[in-house]
Formats: sequence, structure tokens, C-alpha cells
Amino acid sequence: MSTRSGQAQRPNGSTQGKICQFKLVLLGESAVGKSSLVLRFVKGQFHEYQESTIGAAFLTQTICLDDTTVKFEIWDTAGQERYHSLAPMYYRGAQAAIVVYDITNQDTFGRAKTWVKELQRQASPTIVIALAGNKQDLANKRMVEFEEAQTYAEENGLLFMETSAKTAMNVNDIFQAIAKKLPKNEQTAGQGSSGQGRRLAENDTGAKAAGNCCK
Amino acid sequence: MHFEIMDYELPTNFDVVVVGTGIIESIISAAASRIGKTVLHVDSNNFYGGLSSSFNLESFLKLNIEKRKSICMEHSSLNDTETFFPINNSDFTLDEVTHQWNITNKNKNYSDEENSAQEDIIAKEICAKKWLKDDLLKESRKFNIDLTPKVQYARGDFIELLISSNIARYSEYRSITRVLTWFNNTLEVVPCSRSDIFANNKISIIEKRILMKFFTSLDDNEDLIIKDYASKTYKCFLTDKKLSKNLIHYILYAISNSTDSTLCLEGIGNTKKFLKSLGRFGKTPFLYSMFGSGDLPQEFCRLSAVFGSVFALDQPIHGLILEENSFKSILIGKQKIKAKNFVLGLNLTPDFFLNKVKKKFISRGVFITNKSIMDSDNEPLTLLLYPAENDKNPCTVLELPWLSSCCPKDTYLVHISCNQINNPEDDLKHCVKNLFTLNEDFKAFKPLIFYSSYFSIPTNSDENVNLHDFNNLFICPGPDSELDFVTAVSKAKELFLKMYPDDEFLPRAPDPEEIKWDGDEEPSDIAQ
Repeated sequence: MSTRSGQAQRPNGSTQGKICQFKLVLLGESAVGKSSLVLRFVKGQFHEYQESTIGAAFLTQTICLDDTTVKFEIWDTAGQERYHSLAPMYYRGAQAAIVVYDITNQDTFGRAKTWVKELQRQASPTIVIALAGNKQDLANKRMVEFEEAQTYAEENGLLFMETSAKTAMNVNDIFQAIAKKLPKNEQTAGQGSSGQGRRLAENDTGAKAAGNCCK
Repeated sequence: MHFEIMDYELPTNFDVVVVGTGIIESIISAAASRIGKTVLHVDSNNFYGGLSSSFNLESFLKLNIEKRKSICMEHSSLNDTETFFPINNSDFTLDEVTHQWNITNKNKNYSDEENSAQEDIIAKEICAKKWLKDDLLKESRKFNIDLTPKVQYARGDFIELLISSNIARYSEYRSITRVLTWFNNTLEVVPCSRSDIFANNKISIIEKRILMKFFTSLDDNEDLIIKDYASKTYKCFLTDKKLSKNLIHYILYAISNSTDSTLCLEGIGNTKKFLKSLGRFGKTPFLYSMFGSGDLPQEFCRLSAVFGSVFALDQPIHGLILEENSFKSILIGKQKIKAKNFVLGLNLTPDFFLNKVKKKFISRGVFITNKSIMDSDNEPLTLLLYPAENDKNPCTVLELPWLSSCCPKDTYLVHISCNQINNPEDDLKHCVKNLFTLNEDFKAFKPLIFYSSYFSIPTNSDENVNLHDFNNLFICPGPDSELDFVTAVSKAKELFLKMYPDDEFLPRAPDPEEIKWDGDEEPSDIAQ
């Protein structure tokens, strides 16, 4: 899916600025806090013992950036990463990814690097990747140094922040940083996926793409 | 992605264990998960889809050497009351794959410089880009090569199910741009819509009127047709309708995708299906899923996971354990996993349940070419229904441009399929010869083949299976030779309803906005 952008019309005819929609996927080992980050960002909530999200294909959240409204369609792994069985369909057409690790667990940082490689191999070449060192509230049990992760991120052209879904630290910021880095016009945004298809929906008979919902 | 260590054990108690990730298994997995059943979905392959999968070029080239791992079983783990049925069936795997490159790694070294300059100019006119083998290999991941390509009718059961279950939002589709047929030794565009028919300059005005009248009359005299043509062919019906040779060809071989022996009622049914699907999403009745047909099983697996199923690929699946006339558990690695019901793909079914009927295959050809089989202003996605010829079966040709996300820009990926008679190369050679060239012959304006591959896909159906009255084992047939997934959907529904007769088959999944969350009283603010 490439960016679906358009001008929103106010009733009086004046324009309200551009609206861009992006698919963002979350990656990372089980229990690093992927779902918690989304829940914090989308609902402003945190649950210590977060059950995996049942029945949600993806969640949406909107960010305002200057004259542009960025709508994220945020996809969670639905647990398919647990036995290393994430379907490639998951990253199809994704324009952004957050690769999450747990700063108190060195293994999850190693796995995060594997996910970055996988994205570089499988996903669109223009995908914006952010690395999130989650559970920053547990910094006293830290096993992954900030500098180590930052150096790795710089070498690989990734955005990087340490986050805490629990305290909300840097959660909005990381999404905001991704939104800033994403291309906001059709020409540059379409390069990743080779073209825009059509999402099928009931009563859709026209030529317009069904996902083109610029509310 | 391969990891050296298996650091998690699987849970060991489920309502349903699904083995294999073909389309039917995946639909059943989604349906069971959707109604709240606990599902473990495993595959012995390290990819989704089995014989319905798609591969990038590099993986596709390696397919031949991937053989099923030999299976060893520790009988010590069985009790006296248990009987073990090993899963070791190799009857339904991919047959011998051949690969042939028609381009080299180096540019041709022209000795005659004068000629070379001239040829270069002509070559540029014909093909914008010169490909070398290495160039194509470098673009490997831009390829999504289907083992079993499928197109879907816009109002067929599969698309209706995608929409009604809300699975459609997981992926994107492209409309097939045009339907072609092979008639009088040349390619012809099949008129699909009313405007197509009127714009077509190959049929006369009188024929156009007759054709329109024929289409609108199909619903009228149904009883009469059933009575008079129950045992007659569609061709006979069309001839009796006094349609011209042209029109009979279009309707019989393309619109209804029939043969000379197709029965009248089936032919009429197919024609109606075609007409009904027109104009819903595009100018032709057909859709193709971006990134290849191999993503379709994954969409159902995703829904299954979203509702809580556990997924594990690349599993050492040894066999089923029977106790007191029903299956109790499945042995995966060293774990014995219990379930109430077991769903198996036919290619993973123990030999014991297979009848010795004659095996059937689909002959498949895959081609990478430089341009479309029929020139067009835009980059078309073409379905060619190539009629039966002499001793050859009808062939389905699907030509994908880069916009389908199945091949790089400036190439076309072509799939040809037919029911097997001899072997793939022999079954398809007449069709390949008429459509393509292997020589850079500038006078023949046919597409040039860069690479070709032939293989056989085993097809199988219920006639292969004998369940011997074990009522908690459900076996899913493999790929079929239909254009679409209509048979797969009805089979999946049938098996699901046998398992859970009182439950709804894939009710609509909620949209993100409809999901209730704990502490959801206040509407969330826009994050700033």
C-alpha cells in the first residue's frame, strides 16, 4: 500500500491541509512490550499484565504535523512471531516499522537486529525503521547500553529512542519522529511498494481505491 | 528466517490442530479461531501456503532440492492402547522442476561492429531494457512466483467470503485488465462488458445485437433449458441459438471457460458467473491479489492469529496417535499435543487414508519475458484462455506486469497451466510456441523468453481419501485446476460445519473502531 493522501474539504470549501495514511508494523521478540507501546499510543493506557490483543487486525491513530494529518494504521504481530512464523504478508506495503527490544534483556536486542535485517531484505526499500528500547522505566536492570543501541541505529540509518509504555516516555515522540521522516507526497511515497492496488469492500464499484478514506 | 534454537515449547492442549497451511486448511483455521476455539496451526515447511505458495526468484530456483525431511519416530513414547500413524506421505509434493535460462551473464560480444550498431538501435525500440541473468537475480525479491496461480471472480464465493468476513482489508487486489482468447491463429480480446461488445470491431452490428440478446435471455427460459438440454453440451445449445462461429468461440472458450464437452447447464452457470462479476471492481470479472496468490492463505492465517491461534512453521511433525477409535494427539518433535479435532492437508495425510486412485497433475510453465503478448498503451494484467487444440487440453495463461508486485519493472511474469496429459513441457509447447520466441529476432514481435521453468503440481480431491469412520479427522484436498478458489471455499465450509455444525462460518470480524477495550469510556484524544 502506498500513501493515500488527499485534501480534506471543509464545508465552506477551504482546505484543512493534507491527510496521509501509512501502514506501520511492529516487530520484536515476544514480551518486549510491542502491544503495550501501541496501547499507550492509541489509547493512553497501560496494563501491567497485558493480554495479547484478541480480534484487532490493526489499530489506528492520528498525528498532526504542521499542515499535515498523519494517520497510522498500526499492525501488531498477533503472536505469530513467537515461533518465528510471521507471515510475509504482514510487512507487505508497510511504509514504517518499529522494531522493539527490551533494554533489560540482551537477547531481545540481538533479535531486534535480526528483524532489521529481515526488513531490509523483505520489506519495501524506502521503509522508515525505528528502533525502540522499551521498558526504560526498568533502567536499573539495564542489560543493553544506550550508546550501543544508538551506534547500531546510526550505522543502519534507523531512528532510535528508549521508550517506556508504562510511563509513556518517548511513546508519542517515536511515532512523531516517524511521521516527520515519512514522505508526504504521492510521488516519493509510492516508490516502496511498486504500485497501489485496491482494497475490496462491499458497494465498491468505482475506480477509486477503497482504502482512500480521508476523514 | 532460520534460528538455530527452538527456545519455546508449544502448548499441549487445543480444540483443533491444523496441519498444513494450504488455502483450505487456512480458511478452516480462521473459521475455528473466529468462533473462539483454541487452534494450533503448524506446517512442516518453513513457509506458508504449501503448494499454493509463492516464491521469490532465488527461492524458486532452489525448489527442486527441497525435499521432505525423513521422519524418525520414537515408539517408546507410545502407550499400549495407542496406535501411531506416521505422516510420511510424499505422493503429493512438487514434482521434478526444470529451469532454463535463455539469457547469459555477459553481454553478447558482437564481432561484426556495423551490424551491432544497427541491431542496438532496433533492440532499443523493441525492448527498453536489456536484461542479463545476474540483473534478474539481483531483483530476485521483486518476484513473487505462484506455484498455483489463481484469479478470483469479483462476485465469486471467495471474494464474497473475504468481504463478508472482513478479511479483505488485509490485502490489495488488481483487476485483470483484459481477457484474451486464441482464435484463428491469433490473439483476440474477448468483449466482456456492454461497451466492450459495442467497441469491438471484429464482430458485426448484427452479431452484437444477437450477443446482447443472448446474454439477457439466459435468465428467461431456465425451465425449458433444463428440460431440453439436461444431457446436451453447451456448444450444442449455442449452435442451436444460431450464434455465429465467432460468438460461439468467445462464449464457449473464454466467457464460460468451457470445452466442447462441457454440459449445457454448467456452461450457462459459468457464463452467468462471468456476467455477474462484471463491473463490480473493474472492466473484466477477474481480480488478482497483489504480491501473488501465495498471500491468500496467509490472510486467513492472520485472521486466525488475530483471534488467538498459535502458529508454528518448520515443525518436525511425526504423526497422529489413535486411541479407542479416535485421534487423541499429534507428535511434534518430542511433544505429544492433544486436540479434539485434527485438520490435515492431503499432502501430509498418512498413507493409510489414501485410496490408490490414479494421480492427477497440473502441468505448469513459468516464464519471465520482456513484453506483453499483445501490445497495449498501459501495462496490462492479462488473462488468456487458450482453447483446446487437437490432442492438447485448454491452457490458462496469466500474464503479470510489474504493477502486480510479482516481477520487476520492464519484465512480465507469465504463468501457464493445464490439466496434465503427458508432461508439462509437452502439454504446453504449442501454446508457448505461438506466444513467445526464444530468439532475439527483431522481425517477430513476440515477447522474448528470458527464463522458463516447468513443473507438475499434484491435484487431488475427495476420491483420494478414505477416512475409515474416524470422526475427528478432517482432510483437506490440495490445489485444483479451477481458475479461482470456489471449490476450496465450499470444501472449507463443508469441513468446518462437519466439525462445528451449530456455529457460524466466518462471521464478520470487527473493525478496529468497534473493539471494546477495558476502561474505554472516554474517547481517546488525538496524540500530539
